[in-house]
Amino acid sequence: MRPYKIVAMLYRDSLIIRRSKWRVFEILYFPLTSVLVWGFFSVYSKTFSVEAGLVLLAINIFWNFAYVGQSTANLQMMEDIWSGSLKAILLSGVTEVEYVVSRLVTAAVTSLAVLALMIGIALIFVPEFSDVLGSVVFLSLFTLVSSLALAIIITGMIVTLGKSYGFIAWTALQAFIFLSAPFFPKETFPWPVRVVSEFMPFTHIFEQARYVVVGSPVFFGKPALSSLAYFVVAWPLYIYLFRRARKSGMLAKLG
Amino acid sequence: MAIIEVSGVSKRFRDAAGRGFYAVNDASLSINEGEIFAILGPNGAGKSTLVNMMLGLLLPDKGTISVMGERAGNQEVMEKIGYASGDERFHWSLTCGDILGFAGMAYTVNNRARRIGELLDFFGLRGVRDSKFDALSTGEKAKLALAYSLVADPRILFLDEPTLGLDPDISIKVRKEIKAIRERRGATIVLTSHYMREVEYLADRVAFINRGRIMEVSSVAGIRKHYPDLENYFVEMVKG
Ligand SMILES: Nc1ncnc2c1ncn2[C@@H]1O[C@H](COP(=O)(O)OP(=O)(O)OP(=O)(O)O)[C@@H](O)[C@H]1O
Ligand SMILES: [Mg+2]
Repeated sequence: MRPYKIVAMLYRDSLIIRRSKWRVFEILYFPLTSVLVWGFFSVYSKTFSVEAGLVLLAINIFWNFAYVGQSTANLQMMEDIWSGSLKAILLSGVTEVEYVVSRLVTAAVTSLAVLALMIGIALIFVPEFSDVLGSVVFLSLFTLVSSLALAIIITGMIVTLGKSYGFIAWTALQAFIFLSAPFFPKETFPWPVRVVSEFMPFTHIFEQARYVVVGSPVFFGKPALSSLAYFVVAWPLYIYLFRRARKSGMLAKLG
Repeated sequence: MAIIEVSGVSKRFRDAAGRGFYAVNDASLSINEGEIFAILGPNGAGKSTLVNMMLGLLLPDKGTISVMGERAGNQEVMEKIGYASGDERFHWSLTCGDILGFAGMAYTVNNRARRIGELLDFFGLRGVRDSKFDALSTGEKAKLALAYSLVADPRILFLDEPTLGLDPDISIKVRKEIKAIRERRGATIVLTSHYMREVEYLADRVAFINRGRIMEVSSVAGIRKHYPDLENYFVEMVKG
């Protein structure tokens, strides 16, 4: 992996954002509106269930953060495909690993900026959040690692399946979030789903996040393990899928 | 000396009905350093498939392709080849300057600004340097694609229908520019084209490919001894 190739890609990304400034609005729109909705709800819920309000607010922040991380990387790739510039990028000697790493860097920077804003707003609604900020930041890092791992796998899937499957760039995460039991313990699921849930990327993160906000002790072991496991598995899978696309001809006709 | 060596290369695809067919069938050829080599053949003959394999974007099922002594698609090889096609596209919101600037960075070109300035002048793109890709005319896009492929001064240039959809007068200019690239830099050029005039003007040698098979490799001068022009040759070759 050569840093100058990644720097060139990041330079290109920065130019695209500079040439179309409304993008910043697009990135912020859903996260900020959603943290506002749940922020107000948490204020309202103080009259009947403090905990429900806190859990909804916190989990929604993690959800949006995960979504921005994964979708930024994959939507950038879809844009490279839609604009027909993926071929030119790859022929400029950018390898598949350099390509996806550059997407991950942009996605990480973008999603961390959005996260900082969301936490800032949440603190206005729930000043007590500042007591658990450390744990929240830790869990966010695992969330980031998991969502980038999914971005790597989804990039590989789109390359192999072709651009008509591009919709998974903005839909796949929803299924992972659902199966990760966002607002409720995974034991709420019927048993087969419960088993699946155990192995989902965000299950343990959400579980600990729910503990954190109500002041219970938290354990980082399982969240760390599951997010790292996803990240480690994502790479060989990605390289395998990319190679498959080179063999099947899908890569050559992606655009 | 051969700079590209294709030996016994086959590639099978499946058609819509799921039946396998050869897009390229047991193809062998060698392209010499410094020559302009054209690949001719009817639509669907396998030209782009063959070029994609030389570029390393597509892996052959059988056979090997070596480029500058290395496997096609090799990291070092990628630094020394350029590619442009007549329907090349770039990101809609980037300007000509941005697009060439990216290439300059990706290839770590020394004196990037000067190199890009030279190319803008060479292709007459100076006036649209700050125009977004979307706003360019077809001819400007084609010239930008050529400029992009030349940023790093490639040793091998792959041109897939470089003058597709261009006015005759612009095509003539682009052809002259392609010829000048070879003369000035001694680059090897691999060309596919449907314009026989273009091939006749540019190419030293031609490979004729039909239904995935290379039927013949001959020099343009040799063809001209037996046929009045390349168009005639093409029609005869398709008949088989
Ligand atoms: N990725 C792919 N999957 C399936 N079939 C493919 C793929 N790429 C090319 N083909 C088929 O292989 C054959 C050769 O295609 P190719 O694009 O190489 O032709 P070509 O000679 O470049 O034609 P043209 O002159 O129209 O550009 C065609 O029948 C095409 O439909
Ligand atoms: Mg073609």
